[in-house]
Amino acid sequence: MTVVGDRSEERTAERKPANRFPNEVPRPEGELNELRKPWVPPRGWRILSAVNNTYVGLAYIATGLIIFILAGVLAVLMRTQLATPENDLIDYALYNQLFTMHGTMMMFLFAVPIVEAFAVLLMPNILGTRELPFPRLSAYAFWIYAFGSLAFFFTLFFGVAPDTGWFMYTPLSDARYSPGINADMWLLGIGFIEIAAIAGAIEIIVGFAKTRAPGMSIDRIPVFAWAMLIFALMIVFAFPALILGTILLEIERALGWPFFMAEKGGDPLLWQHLFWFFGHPEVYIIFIPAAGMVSTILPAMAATPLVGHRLVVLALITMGVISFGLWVHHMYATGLPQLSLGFFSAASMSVAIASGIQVFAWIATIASGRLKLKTPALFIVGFLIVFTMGGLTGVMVASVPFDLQVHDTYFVVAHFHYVLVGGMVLPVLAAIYYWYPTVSQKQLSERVGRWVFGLFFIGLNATFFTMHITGLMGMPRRVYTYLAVMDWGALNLISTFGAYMMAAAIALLVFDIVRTFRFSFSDTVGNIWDAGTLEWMRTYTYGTRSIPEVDSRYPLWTRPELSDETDEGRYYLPGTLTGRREALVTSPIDARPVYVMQVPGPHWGPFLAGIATTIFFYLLTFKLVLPAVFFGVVAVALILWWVWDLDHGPVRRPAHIGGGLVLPVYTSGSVNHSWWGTVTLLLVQGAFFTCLVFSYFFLWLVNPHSWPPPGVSMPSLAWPAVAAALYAASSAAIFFAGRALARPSSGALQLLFPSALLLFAAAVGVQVYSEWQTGLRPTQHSYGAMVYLFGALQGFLGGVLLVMAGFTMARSLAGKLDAVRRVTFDNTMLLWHYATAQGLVAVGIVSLFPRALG
Amino acid sequence: MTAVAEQRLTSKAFLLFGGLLIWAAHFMLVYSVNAVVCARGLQDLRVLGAGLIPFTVAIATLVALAAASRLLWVGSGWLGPLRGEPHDDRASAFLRQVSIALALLSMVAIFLTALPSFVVVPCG
Repeated sequence: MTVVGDRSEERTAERKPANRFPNEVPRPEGELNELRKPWVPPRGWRILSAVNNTYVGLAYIATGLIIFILAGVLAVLMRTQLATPENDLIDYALYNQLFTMHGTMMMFLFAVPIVEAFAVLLMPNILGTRELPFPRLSAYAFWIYAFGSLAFFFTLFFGVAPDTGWFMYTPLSDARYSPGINADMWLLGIGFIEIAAIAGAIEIIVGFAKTRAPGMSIDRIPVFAWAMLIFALMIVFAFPALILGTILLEIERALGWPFFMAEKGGDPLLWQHLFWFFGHPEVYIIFIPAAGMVSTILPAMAATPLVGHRLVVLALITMGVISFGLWVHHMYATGLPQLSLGFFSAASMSVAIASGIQVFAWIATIASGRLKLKTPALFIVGFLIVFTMGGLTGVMVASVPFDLQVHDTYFVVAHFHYVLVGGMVLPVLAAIYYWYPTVSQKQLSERVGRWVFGLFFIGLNATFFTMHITGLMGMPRRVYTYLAVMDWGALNLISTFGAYMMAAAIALLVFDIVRTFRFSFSDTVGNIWDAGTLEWMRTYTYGTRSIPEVDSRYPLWTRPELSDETDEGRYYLPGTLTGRREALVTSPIDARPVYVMQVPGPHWGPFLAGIATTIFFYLLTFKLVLPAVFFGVVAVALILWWVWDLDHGPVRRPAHIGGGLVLPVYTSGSVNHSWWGTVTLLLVQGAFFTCLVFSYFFLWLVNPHSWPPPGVSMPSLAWPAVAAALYAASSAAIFFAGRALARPSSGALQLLFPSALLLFAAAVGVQVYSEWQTGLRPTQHSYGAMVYLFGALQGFLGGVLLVMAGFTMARSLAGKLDAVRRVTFDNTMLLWHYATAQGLVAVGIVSLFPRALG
Repeated sequence: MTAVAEQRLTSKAFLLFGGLLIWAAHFMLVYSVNAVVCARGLQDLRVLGAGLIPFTVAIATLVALAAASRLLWVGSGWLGPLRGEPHDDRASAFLRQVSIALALLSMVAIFLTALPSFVVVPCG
């Protein structure tokens, strides 16, 4: 592969002859009106029911920035406290809440959501589609994030904010040492962000694969979209570890099932493994989209294609995978075997290769072009400097002996702020300045922008560079004050001064946004950077007038007239086929048009379900179980309400979209976008289950000679055999239900679904009762806790299947399900077979593994 | 590209991750073996004159490197131009090049992972 070769395409793409456009102009009268009608956004207070990616994306970004500011205020408070030795402005209890909330909010409620927000806002236009596949899901994700995160922040004012660090280490966070609800606030309060992140990830993955403009083959996909894909895939595989960890800890706190209590066979290190298996990839989850932003902004600012496009994609994929092999490098001081630490140190070095590739590609891009030193470019240059320094100290702390010296000191604080602020916040600020003209009638001030950059960049280095030194001088993290004799005062004062400079920079930015922001879909500032990617085309509520055909990585550079041609309706789908919102679905590799997807429009479901979900989590936090269950049911009902009017079926025959292409308006099976969404969700569930299996084996490892513990007898093998047979039988019933779809009037479906449910419930019952009748209880020992957790998880899946089966049957009775219009059934079937497979594996592990040990 | 060729290529696109998945499998294996051996005090066992852990890591590394090089060797066959397809297909070329480069990078990562086994005391 050659680096220069990447750029040849942009130089050589030929002009498309006028007679080769897919559609003729002028377009028929009324076509534009027909297209516009279903996309008209709700007005007034009904705007809350909007699901357009532009509205949701903007609201998402705004909320993310509010959280960033609130979490930043907490940081400024902490820095004020530490400005002088023996300061008594803030007591230790509040300080604990401040640093816990600052870390939690920045990591969970700002960093992840805001990059998802940028994806929701920009991906459709960058990919050249009218909409991503699941806009209501995106809207729901936004609402639970918005309500949940603001409610989470306000816990500070009631003294119930979490106070055990954003990592919630056990045993400090267990019920004995943190008996209040502060820890529960974290464990349950963070639940909504897990849902929001995964919902967003599904949208991004399926959107990347299915809704690209024709011709945007895999080699022409912008790096921004690649980065978002890797980011989303990482969420799919990393967040389940966190979800499992929080569930285990909450169950231990609420019910006394011992997963982390050493005296009952648990191990606090299990929490650290689960947390950091999420936590380290989380750093890359934050960084990779930011890197994608840099790789997209830089070519426009340097007026040259990104050098080494393929190498950058390679680097993103590599980081996405290898970052999962780094989690123990947060655990070097926990007493793990030396060689284990060595493996993780080696992985840390490997991931540095990928990071290095990207950094060199960016430097080469700057070198090969002519960098316009506008505000976005300033932030990018700042990013390169700060992130590289953070990367270098990262290599230092990845070295075990050095890490042991600086563990839990301010050196580590300095390192990860260089990586996170440098690697993520600076690119996001660059992104705000860069993409602002796509949504506003007025651009931010260049003059103010330079001040914002200058203050922020100097402030950042003043704040955090000094921390390297205070750390090397021995100042520990998370202390609310320090003695004057330690001589850390002057450096801390500089740090505090720097923090105020950063705060001033952000205040200036907010001032400029308030001054200049005039929202518009179509009457925007436009392509002031002379960028080459599709988001700079003229767009409306329905995206572009027609769906363009792409012939390079920088279509607007190779075809400057593309925006006008698209706007005239010369390209694909210039009108509407069904009278509804539509998007063009293309094939995953070469982006060949496959079918026209009917896209859901505004609905109150996402907003109301967002409220109900947030209330559910917070009631659960306060142990108000019955009201919580009520709101949980309401949330599910609202979700079903909005899903009910999806899956319209083949409402019309296949139709022309231009260029001689005749496409269907409906598909089912593996071609359908919903199938891809469900499979992605199953990947999440599979990752969760894998983490659970890991936890089982981990606890076995720390419990030699007591797995099961002395005095516990295992049920005879007949029990698991029966459970396995029942699971298999329930899946078989669903298989036959699929066949019965061809004869919806036969009533077989109404018979087979309840039968399958009963069989599944019986399987779970046998699985759990077989252990219960031996006298084993979940509170006695970690062995019992794990065994019953396997059963509980199957029970949960059974509950989900109950809802989905009921929904599927209801659609069948309403005449909305048949052999063709079968997406609802396919999704239920996929989950059913997965649940069966998981049940079989769980039964196998629980009943066979301890026996295999003898 | 025809729909059938596209479908075949879609499944093969997952080979982009092939080299890295081999790295992941190797990584998890050596980490798990080391954890179990140390937890159960089996580190002094010897196989063919070598310590249990260096021996296991060496075998696992050889297998992983062989698998990754196999991916490298036949990568062009898997991801190259499909029968009846033009040889200048950019999407195929992109997939082939990136997957081969990823396989190479994975081999480096596998080698780096194995290295500490021969210089660090396993359970110290």
